[in-house]
Amino acid sequence: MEYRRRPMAIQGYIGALAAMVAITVVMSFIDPPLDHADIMLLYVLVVFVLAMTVGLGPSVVASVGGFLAFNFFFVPPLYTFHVHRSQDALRLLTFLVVAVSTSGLAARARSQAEAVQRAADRTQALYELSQSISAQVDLDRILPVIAETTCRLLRLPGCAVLLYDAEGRLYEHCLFGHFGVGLRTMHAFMRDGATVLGVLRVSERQSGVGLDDDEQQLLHMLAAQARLALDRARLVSQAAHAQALAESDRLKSALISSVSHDLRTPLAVIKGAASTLLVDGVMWGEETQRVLAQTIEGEADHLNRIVCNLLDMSRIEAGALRLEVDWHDLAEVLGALLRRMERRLQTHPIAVALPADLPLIPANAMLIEQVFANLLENALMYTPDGTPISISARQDGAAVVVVVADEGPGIPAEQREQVFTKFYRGTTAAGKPSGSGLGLAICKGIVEAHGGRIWVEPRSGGGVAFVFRLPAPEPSQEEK
Amino acid sequence: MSGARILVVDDEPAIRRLLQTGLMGHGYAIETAIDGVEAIEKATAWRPDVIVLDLALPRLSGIDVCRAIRAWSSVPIIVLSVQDAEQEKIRALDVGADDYLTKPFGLGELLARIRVALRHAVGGTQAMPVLVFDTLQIDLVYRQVVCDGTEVHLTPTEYDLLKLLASHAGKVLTHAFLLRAIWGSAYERDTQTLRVFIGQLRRKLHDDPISPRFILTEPGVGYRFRALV
Repeated sequence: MEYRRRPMAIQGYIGALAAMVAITVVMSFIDPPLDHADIMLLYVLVVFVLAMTVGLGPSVVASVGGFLAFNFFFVPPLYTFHVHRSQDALRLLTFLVVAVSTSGLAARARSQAEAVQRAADRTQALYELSQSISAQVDLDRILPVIAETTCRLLRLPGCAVLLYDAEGRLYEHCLFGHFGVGLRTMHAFMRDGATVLGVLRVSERQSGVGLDDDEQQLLHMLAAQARLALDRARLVSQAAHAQALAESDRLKSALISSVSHDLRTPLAVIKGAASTLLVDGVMWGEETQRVLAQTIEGEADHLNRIVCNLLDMSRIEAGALRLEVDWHDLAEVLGALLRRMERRLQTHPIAVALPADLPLIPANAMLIEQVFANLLENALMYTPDGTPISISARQDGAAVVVVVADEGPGIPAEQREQVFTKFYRGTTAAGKPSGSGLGLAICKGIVEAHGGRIWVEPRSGGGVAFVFRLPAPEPSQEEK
Repeated sequence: MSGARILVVDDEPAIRRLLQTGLMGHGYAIETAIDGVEAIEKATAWRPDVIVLDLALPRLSGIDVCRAIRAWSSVPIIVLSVQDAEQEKIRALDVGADDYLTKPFGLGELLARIRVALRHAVGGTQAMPVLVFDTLQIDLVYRQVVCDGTEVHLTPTEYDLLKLLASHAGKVLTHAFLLRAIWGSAYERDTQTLRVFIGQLRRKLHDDPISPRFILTEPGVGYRFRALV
């Protein structure tokens, strides 16, 4: 067991000598003169007190001082260092041995008590540190706390946490305090088996003064805490990654089953109609042939829409919506779409109300056309033939709000958020094929990519109103 | 114009067969080519009146074929493309194609485009002094425009724009083409200006962009004046 190295405290030694001088003076003036035994005991008492309060060095000096004072002032012949009687010599020697031993024992007891207290303090501090950072996963919060705690517990001027970056180079993640010129640095490694994950670097307190064993141990414990924090952060990010992969897998499965079902149905109809026309030995009338041919054409359009939807969805998922944006007139975009869908829209009366002074919006024309197309397809699918569909728009501050409304069965309140999720399908109007569940999710993806928002509102009188809002800022002077 | 010669270029045998059958059924004479190299050979040797050209070809791309043929011939070229390839369509039109069709398309659309292309082939509408579209009359000699019975006052730029569109009735004209022709090549990218003038023209002709009578929007590509049927 080593005693804690303490800087030479001159004051302690002066104090010890002063105490011995004081007690000697006091004892000299006591009348009648004290017994040798009493004197010895008093000196030992002083040595003991010094050992308990000041330390080993001064108390040993006091012991030697007491031995000399005892000899000089109280043992005949007085005022000399000679000793005549052998029992006096024995008494003096005994005193010295006892005094020095007492010093040693008392000082050691004190040291031990101090060491235990320090260990308890450190354990407490480490416990508090681990409590405060165990809830945290963010390395940017944890590592500075560790650096600060290290400086505080070890009373060091500076501590830095060094980590390895993606290329394997060491960089300083955070620093507490400072590293003075002329002060050496000491390191504790954050290890994971044989791999080093990072380094805890500290500055020495004073030039040439290193850390004792206890302090070294504490430094390594702090490095271990830092390593635990790194581990935790890594595990959390791995868990998040795994979750993202699981979600992506789920979507892929849903996509595959959607594709399988949605593409096969129109294909089946096409195959059926075409093979019917090709049946040997049957002469179909012109009307029948016409109907079958129209069926094939209609289903081919249906297939085309599904393929478009799947492509759009996969692009949105990949974050690859190339937003080539230009200023567009919603009336133009809608007009082109209505022309494209003319034949399909014959089953429903369409009412369009777009004010002539609607501002231009920064948008990708094809994508906004897709939003209108999907909303109209929805209206066609979910409302019976003949029910009106209305499209209107208005300016709202620095935005344009568009409403596509129908008078179908509507969407119940609890499903109004859900309808925009991928693969969500409702119940189509009687006799109509169902959709792929992607149309509204695509609308949401496109509208949000434009910085807008889309939602569902109930319509007084039944049916739904799909409302989307697109930003329409003032074009800058040079753009005008 | 039956009897006209049409060269169909597509690497998919099913598409070639389908178009051949359909177009022959309407009285056209058809030759086919399976790639760009054969397309150029047949264009040179057979001298078609219209070329229907798929842009996605192996070996030589459709755009390169277009460029090559345009070097020595002004035969009308209609390109076939897919929905999301806007840039490709615009490039083809800039390189000299006359119109485009997006797959999948119906035969009726293709026939309409072919009719327009044949009409605008060299020596087509240029000779007519007055263009008539339903209730719209454009007198090219006196620079007068009458719509729904009343005279319409157009600024010189608006008139030039209308004349250009109407002279190519039925054909798509890219933004860049219109801007170059009327404002000069420095303004090739100024689609804002074009949109403003188209808007003004539409208003003066009482042409609702939602259900247009005359000026049709080809989103992302340009504008098309509605053809006389």
